[in-house]
Amino acid sequence: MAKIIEGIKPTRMELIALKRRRGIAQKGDKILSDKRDVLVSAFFERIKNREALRDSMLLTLEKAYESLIEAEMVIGEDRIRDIGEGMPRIGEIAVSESAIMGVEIPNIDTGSIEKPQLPNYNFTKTNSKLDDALVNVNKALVAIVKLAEIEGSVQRLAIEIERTRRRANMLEYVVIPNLEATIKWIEFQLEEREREDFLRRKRIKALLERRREES
Amino acid sequence: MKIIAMGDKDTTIAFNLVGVESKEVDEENIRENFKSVCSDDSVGVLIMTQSIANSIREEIDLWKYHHNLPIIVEVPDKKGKLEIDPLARLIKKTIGIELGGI
Repeated sequence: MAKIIEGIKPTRMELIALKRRRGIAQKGDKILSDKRDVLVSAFFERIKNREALRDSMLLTLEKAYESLIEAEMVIGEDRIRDIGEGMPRIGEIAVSESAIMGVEIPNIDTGSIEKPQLPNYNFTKTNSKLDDALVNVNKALVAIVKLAEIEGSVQRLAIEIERTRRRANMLEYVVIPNLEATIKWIEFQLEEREREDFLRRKRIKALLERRREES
Repeated sequence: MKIIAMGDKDTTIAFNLVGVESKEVDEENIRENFKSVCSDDSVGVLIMTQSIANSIREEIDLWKYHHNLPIIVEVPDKKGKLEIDPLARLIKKTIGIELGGI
């Protein structure tokens, strides 16, 4: 239910101020719904690639685990861990942020991790399963990082879409109706006062006329 | 920015092999590890096994709601599949649409 805003005197000044506020609120409502439309279209654009990427991540990771376990059986867990420590570190990924309607969307450059690490371990003391594991984990990693970019942006967009919707609803269902109810109330009060004034003037006129006739 | 992996032994071995900094965690020390990694500004992507992530689900959800980075990606461990899709859950909660898949 729309409520009349409390603490406002029914004067013409207030009426003008309220009408201005209503105009601003309506404009704000329009801007928010435009913003939501843009965010929603960005959201769908990003989410459509997610499923395929996620599937390929799951698949390559599964393969990677399989070959890793087979390699572990032959070479031993500790040896593989040592080999891992000896592998060159992957280095940094470049994460930049671009903004869509004030929402910060991460962009990740996967260039630096896309080419597989070259094995620097002793081929005579390991087996081909380890090489397979290496290749597959790397593929999975690339998929994971690409997925991270999508999930990060989709998540930000989803949260912002909800916030925008909540604010638009607040304007649409609370602020604007309240302003309108108050405007109506003031207009009614002013009309009522005018009618009273009109009546009063008529009565005074009649009184004055009667007095003039008597004199 | 850095990539960090957290999970059980096999997962850390796997990611260590390709040169990703990996932390072996269990359900006991996941909380403090998660906090220290998240408060590190140089971490861009955090890879976590879902079985570990499940034990601090609320913390992760709260973190994701208020922060952009690190981006948390949940992966299966060697036992297999992903049971829940946190992003789909978030989308259902915020926008109210269902995603296909898991």
